[in-house]
Amino acid sequence: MSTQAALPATEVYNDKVVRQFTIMAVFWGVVGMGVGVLVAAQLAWPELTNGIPWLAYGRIRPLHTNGVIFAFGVSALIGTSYWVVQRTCHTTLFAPRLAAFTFWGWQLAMIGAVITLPLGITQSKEYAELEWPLDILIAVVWVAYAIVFFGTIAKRRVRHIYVANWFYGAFIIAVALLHIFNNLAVPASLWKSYSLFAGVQDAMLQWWYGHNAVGFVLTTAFLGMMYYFIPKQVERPIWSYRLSIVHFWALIFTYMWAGPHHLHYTALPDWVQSIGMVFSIILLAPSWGGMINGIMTISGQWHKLITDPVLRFLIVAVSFYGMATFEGSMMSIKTVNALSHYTDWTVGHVHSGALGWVGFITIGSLYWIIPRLFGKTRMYSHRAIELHFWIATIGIVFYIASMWMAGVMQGLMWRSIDADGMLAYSFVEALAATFPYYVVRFVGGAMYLTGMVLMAWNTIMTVRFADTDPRAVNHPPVVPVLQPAPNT
Amino acid sequence: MSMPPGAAPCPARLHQAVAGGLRLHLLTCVKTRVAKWFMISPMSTRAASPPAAATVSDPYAALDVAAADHGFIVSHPDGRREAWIAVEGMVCAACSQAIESAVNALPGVDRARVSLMTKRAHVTWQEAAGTRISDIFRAIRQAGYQAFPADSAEFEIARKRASRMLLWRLLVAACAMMQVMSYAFPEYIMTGDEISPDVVQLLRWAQWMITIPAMLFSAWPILANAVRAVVARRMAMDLPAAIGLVLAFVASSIATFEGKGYVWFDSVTMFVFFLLLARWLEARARDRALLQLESLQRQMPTGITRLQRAGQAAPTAPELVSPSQLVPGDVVRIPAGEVFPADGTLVRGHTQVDEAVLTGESMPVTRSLGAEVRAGSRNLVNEVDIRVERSAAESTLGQIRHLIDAAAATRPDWMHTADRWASVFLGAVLAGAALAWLTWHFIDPSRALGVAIAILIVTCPCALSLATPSAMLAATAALARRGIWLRTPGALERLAHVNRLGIDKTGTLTRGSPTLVGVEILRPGLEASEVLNLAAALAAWSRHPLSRALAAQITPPLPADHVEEIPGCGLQGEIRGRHWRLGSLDFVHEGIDPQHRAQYPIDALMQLHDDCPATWLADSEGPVARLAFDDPLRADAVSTIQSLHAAGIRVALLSGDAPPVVQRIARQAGLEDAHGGLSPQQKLDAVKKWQAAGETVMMVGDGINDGPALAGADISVSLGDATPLARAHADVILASGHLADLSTTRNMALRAVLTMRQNLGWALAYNIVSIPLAMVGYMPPWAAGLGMALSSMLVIGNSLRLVREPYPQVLPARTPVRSAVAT
Amino acid sequence: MDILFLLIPLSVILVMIIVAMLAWAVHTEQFDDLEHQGELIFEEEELAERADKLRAEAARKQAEQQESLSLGDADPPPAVAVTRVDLRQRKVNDSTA
Repeated sequence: MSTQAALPATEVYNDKVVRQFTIMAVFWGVVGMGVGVLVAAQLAWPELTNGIPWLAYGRIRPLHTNGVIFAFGVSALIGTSYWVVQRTCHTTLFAPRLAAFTFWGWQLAMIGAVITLPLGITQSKEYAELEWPLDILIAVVWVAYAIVFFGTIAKRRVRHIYVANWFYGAFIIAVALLHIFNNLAVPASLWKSYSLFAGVQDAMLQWWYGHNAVGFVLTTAFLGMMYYFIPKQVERPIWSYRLSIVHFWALIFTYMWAGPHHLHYTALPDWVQSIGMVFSIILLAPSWGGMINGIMTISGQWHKLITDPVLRFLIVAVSFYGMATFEGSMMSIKTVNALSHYTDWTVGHVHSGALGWVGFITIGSLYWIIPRLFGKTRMYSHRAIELHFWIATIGIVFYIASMWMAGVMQGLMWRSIDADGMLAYSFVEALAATFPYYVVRFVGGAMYLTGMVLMAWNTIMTVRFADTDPRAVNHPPVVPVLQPAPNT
Repeated sequence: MSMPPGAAPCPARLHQAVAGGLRLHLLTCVKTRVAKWFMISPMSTRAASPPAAATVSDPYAALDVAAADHGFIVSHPDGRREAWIAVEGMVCAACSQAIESAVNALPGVDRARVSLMTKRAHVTWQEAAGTRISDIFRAIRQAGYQAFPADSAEFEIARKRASRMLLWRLLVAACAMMQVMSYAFPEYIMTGDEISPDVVQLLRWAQWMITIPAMLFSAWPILANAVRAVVARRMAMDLPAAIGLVLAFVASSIATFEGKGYVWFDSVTMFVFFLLLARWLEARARDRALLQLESLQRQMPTGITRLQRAGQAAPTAPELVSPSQLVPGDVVRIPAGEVFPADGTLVRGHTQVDEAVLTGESMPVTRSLGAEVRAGSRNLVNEVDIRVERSAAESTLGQIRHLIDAAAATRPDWMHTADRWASVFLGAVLAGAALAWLTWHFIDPSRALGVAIAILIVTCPCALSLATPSAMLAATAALARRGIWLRTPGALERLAHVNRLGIDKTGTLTRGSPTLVGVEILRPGLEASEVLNLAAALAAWSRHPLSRALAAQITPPLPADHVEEIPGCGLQGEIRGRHWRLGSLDFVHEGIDPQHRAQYPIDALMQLHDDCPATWLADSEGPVARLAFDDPLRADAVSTIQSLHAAGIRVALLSGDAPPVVQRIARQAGLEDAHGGLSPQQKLDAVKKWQAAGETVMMVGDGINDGPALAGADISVSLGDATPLARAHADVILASGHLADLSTTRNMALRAVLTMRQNLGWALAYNIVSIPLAMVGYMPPWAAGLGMALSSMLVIGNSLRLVREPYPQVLPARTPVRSAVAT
Repeated sequence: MDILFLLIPLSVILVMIIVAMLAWAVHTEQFDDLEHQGELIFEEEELAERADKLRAEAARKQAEQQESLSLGDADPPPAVAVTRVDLRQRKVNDSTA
């Protein structure tokens, strides 16, 4: 290495905050999915929690969505982004105290969610339910996160910024923008506020936010994860680096206008809906570009899928990504949407993306990173990972199959008209017919949760009992920053 | 070269080969299964075992000479120096990182950046810290890679800036196109008054704002080109495009300000994007071809030891200078193995020189005190001092260079035809658009402008301008994979029309260096292998071509003591206690002990002679063997000539070598048309004569004596092991050294021309069909833009087919154009 | 659809920002040399391990590669003709070569 470097020889990566976020991600995964299973049970057996106001469906459904997206997903994203940015820039985190603050601040916000949502404190905007004090906290934490992340990039020692960092960076900026604009509100009291916008304007803004939340959090950010952890697991570089760059720019340009597809056949003007439809279809191209890039990375190494369950998680995740984006584009076509809107098909679509893509890519990445974070050679139980994979996959299949069937059935029942021109089925009849599907969905969700619990157990065992990597210097490991020559 | 030390190893260096004096690497990337060629510097012509003679001077020492012709270094007033270094041998990121680390470790180096794509290292350092440019080169060499000076620094900077700007413009155009499309879309799909006027206006303003950077920044080269064409009063491809763009933008802007009328911002941005895309693809093709071929022109600056300056009476301390600094009267020292930098007279020592590069004759000639030596010839045996008679520029070499340049300047230029046709076409387009506007003005004025713009867009030569470059790029890439490097893609069209091939003998049709072909054993009881071992033991100590051929047969050679080389005669030395001689008959005969000599009278031995060069081996007891050499044909020479004949191409042999030898080789190769004893000028004359008869001439050669003919021919081809000067001017370089690649190249050229025709045909057909449609108003500008985009994609896709398909059979040549003079 | 008066200008500004980011990326040479940047994430030891594995694979495939791709020096040198000459006989016979 360079003898010229005027750097302290003991500069080490800041993995402490990564460890914190990773462990909490696993924790919140269990919690968020647990609440989800509870919610699924309530849908099948509505009397389940009667009389307990803070377990009311209307209150804890948002707890589930916030729990999985923000508590589980974003914790994993922040943690992995800190790992990736340090190692691809060959430097430690900028402002390590601010980084520590992002951890504690974020956990505080999530705990705030766990407390306020069951208490019925809500803005009633999907994925933006938290009231204004928590919104402000989130904004502050987010600004801190942006400072840490971009600061680290600014002090990088490698000239090229690896593509995963671009994805993470876009995620950070987009979320800042979306969060601020959609949560603009006039506070009336400590826990009550009124949205600055109203009516269909608000709806447009909300779904501009909502779809971009899906686009920039659930897609872009996790693509960043994919572009790092899949090559690492396969030990091959990404199939086409150039394609990954094109993928990135095409994606961020097209996502902005796809929002209206959530509002087909509503009061939103027709032409806005049409734009949403067209851009949702155009979105298919960059999405599949990314999918192909991810899957082809293991070309020539397909045999590894048989032996390596972690790789399986990652690759299956990418396949689900392709499937979900295709499904989403199809569902944004007005005629298709006329059948699917408000049905459980939408829920099935969300969960194929959430469980299949987001869940699996996170799980795979965490299985990669956890042993290394704790100086172990591998996860404690290989068989538990295998079991996790199969339980979770079967769980997903149960989930989405039941929801597809329920959704199509609902759509058809709602629109069927008898000979007199009257609706053939009442709403309640359609609902009753959905019951068996809700039960199957509950089972699927429970299976997925079981897999997550397995992961939590495996994680604890790994931290405490797995074989220590002889190269790990300390426990937890202290990894010196790999220094290429300065000014490279 | 073994695995570079210190660098993380890359997917295996699978095979090293030596081909005609050049070390080649064939590296197959395990990932992509694509084979890549890397040329490393020419093998040293030194003998296998180091004799007591002078060692090769440090190849990097000359770099430190503060000479103005080191254009690849820029010195700043504050003591900083920047250098652009071409690096060969890198394959992956680990290699570039290894080099960066190695160079950054040197004291005073501010920054070292290595780019794998351009194969350049850019180093900034402080000379005051003690690092010299030669240290940097040495560091790269120690890391395991070859370093050469890049082209001039200004060129490097300019090239980088140009490619960056073009990419940036393209990206801005792409963003603008996508965003403007989003905002333009609502107006297309709305029904009636669905969208309130103020929202429509808002959308238009948004489009306008985003189109501005596309027009002013991205489209700048197009607009500037068009303006230049107008000022110079000539037609350019960019002119209709520029007019269309400006018209559309201005009209749309007015419509936006006034709040009524049509807007075409989406067409404008789409148009700009595709125009730039064509340019960008073309630039990449050019850059790639340039980079590939630069590696063949690598030359280290040579340092000459000057002993005495002209005009001074006494010798000074030896100093290292560059060849361009030599003036008549300087006395310089030329070690054995080096090339003479200028014409001169021998003032100390005597030696043998190899003038093959100038005459084609591979047998060395003796030069003694007072004899003249010519620039470019190589000192084979002893270190000598010469007095420079003519400067390097004016020396024989320089004169031949002049010939080459002059011939190149009068090269048949086919571009004039293309230009003429383009002007006519474009003039018609502009006239048509104006006419359409006028007509519509009377029918329905609101549509007049839209129609005119649609015509201008639809006739955009986008697909047309992509037709040729995309095919050329694809063909270049396909050929490169087979080790055939196309320096001027424009030569493809001429290649397809070749009907006459002029080929050089030494080094082209033949291997170029003598090869052992026969051993006549004169002493019973000895095996051929023993004879060769003994001969090689002595031959290893000499640079004589015959010795090199012998030494190549046996490695490692036996050890020999007290070896001495006598120029013009041969070698003598002791092997296993016996005294041996290797060389001319007289020399060897004298080495036989007098008591045995009578048994072997020289006349009897002379009867064993034939045409071929030979060397004799004898010990003190008598002659042992006669070793016969020849310069044999390349293995695929005969088949290549046959296939070319079958294709209807007439092949002629043009050589500077002695006519009897030339005739013999021609007979072996199956050629009837052969001429020997030609000078470079005479070869050029032959080429000119053929051209005057209407033939398209391809010339294949390897030495400077071919240079003028190569430059004058329609297509010049040199083999990979040719001299740098020949390679620098050749259109096609057969890196593999296989003559059969001539057929391969021709086939690819034919297919490329066919593809180009298909592309042009399609582009024209599309234009012809869509112009009437646009004229009658059935094609709105956005459809014109879309059609143009799709048509461009089709052309690119068609060209890519060139890279995939296997090669077909040999296709016949066209008959030559008849000239006024009957042949 | 008054909200568009917020969203559209916002998007235009966003586009400008993105273009500025693109310009910065081009200027800092982010898009130079894209072929090999994918290997950036592998660190020295990993690269060395991977190279070892690849070398082993490549060694296995070497024969296959050599057949399908020929090299510049594939021309075998012509066979050397070996003859024996009995000088004493020649002297006696005095025949021409």
